[in-house]
Amino acid sequence: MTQQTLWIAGIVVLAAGTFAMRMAGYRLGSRLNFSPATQTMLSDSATILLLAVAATSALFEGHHFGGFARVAGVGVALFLAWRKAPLIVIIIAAAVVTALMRWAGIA
Amino acid sequence: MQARFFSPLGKDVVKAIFLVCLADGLVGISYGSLAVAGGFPLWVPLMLSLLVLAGASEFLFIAIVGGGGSPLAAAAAGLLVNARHLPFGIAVKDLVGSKSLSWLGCHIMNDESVVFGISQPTHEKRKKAYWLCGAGIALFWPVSVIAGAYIGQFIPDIKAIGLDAVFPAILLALIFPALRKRRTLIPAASGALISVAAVPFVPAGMPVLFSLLGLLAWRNKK
Repeated sequence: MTQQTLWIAGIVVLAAGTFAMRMAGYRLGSRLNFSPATQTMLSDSATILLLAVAATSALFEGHHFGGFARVAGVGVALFLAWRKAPLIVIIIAAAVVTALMRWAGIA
Repeated sequence: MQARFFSPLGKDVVKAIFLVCLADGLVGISYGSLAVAGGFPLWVPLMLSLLVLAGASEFLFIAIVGGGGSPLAAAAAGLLVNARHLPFGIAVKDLVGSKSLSWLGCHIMNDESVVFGISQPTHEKRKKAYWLCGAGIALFWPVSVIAGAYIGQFIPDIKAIGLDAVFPAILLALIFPALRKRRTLIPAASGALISVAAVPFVPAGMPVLFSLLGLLAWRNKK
């Protein structure tokens, strides 16, 4: 196989597999009849996954610690979320704090 | 028409979604420019952005193949990173639409559209936020990859402008109200701890799945 064919094969496998997982979740969720308690648990499970995505992407770069600047930016965002600041303020504050710390030389 | 369709969302949410799309666009520019600089023709990141539409797995694919790895091994690694879309699909089953629309609705499923979807107060708003964010990213992402291939070198480093902090920040801000409930906080916090502890030891994507172990701490109480 040429390099190009291999690239296309890889892209198709990744795209088809990713779509299949999205669809499988949706189909599975729609087919089964869940009790109200299970329904609540399922919606909580999305929150659990998203918190894990947020925590790992705040702290890590690949398999290693991603540096203090980003942790500080996300920390400020967490504080502002707790204080019920508007979403836009939270987004901008996270970027500004992280950028300033890097600019000041703290990785 | 669009304005009316999305109007019940409120200006703040629409603005926040736009800002997230914009941030995604800047990441897309950097992604397009890195891929092309790494020796890929534009159609590789472009096809990935259109057909996969899940940033982290696309970066991983490009990094592995660019580093000399096999595209099929890269696809397998990307699929592991994307495995969380299965539980996401279960959680947003009522937002993706039915019949043929669900094909599109499923394709635009990602961290951002899911978090905007589940964080709205009413079903109508959940659906609209999910679709607006999902459609916005589905548009911004490939367009910015093309832009990146041409103008990437003129755009500041996304780390220098702190953009990498924006994604965890937006996720936290949007799920924060749900975390005020102990019923959700305890399993979510335990799950996140398990994930963070696992990161150095297992392949990318698996730690996030481990967070579902936090459900063991789940009790049907307020």
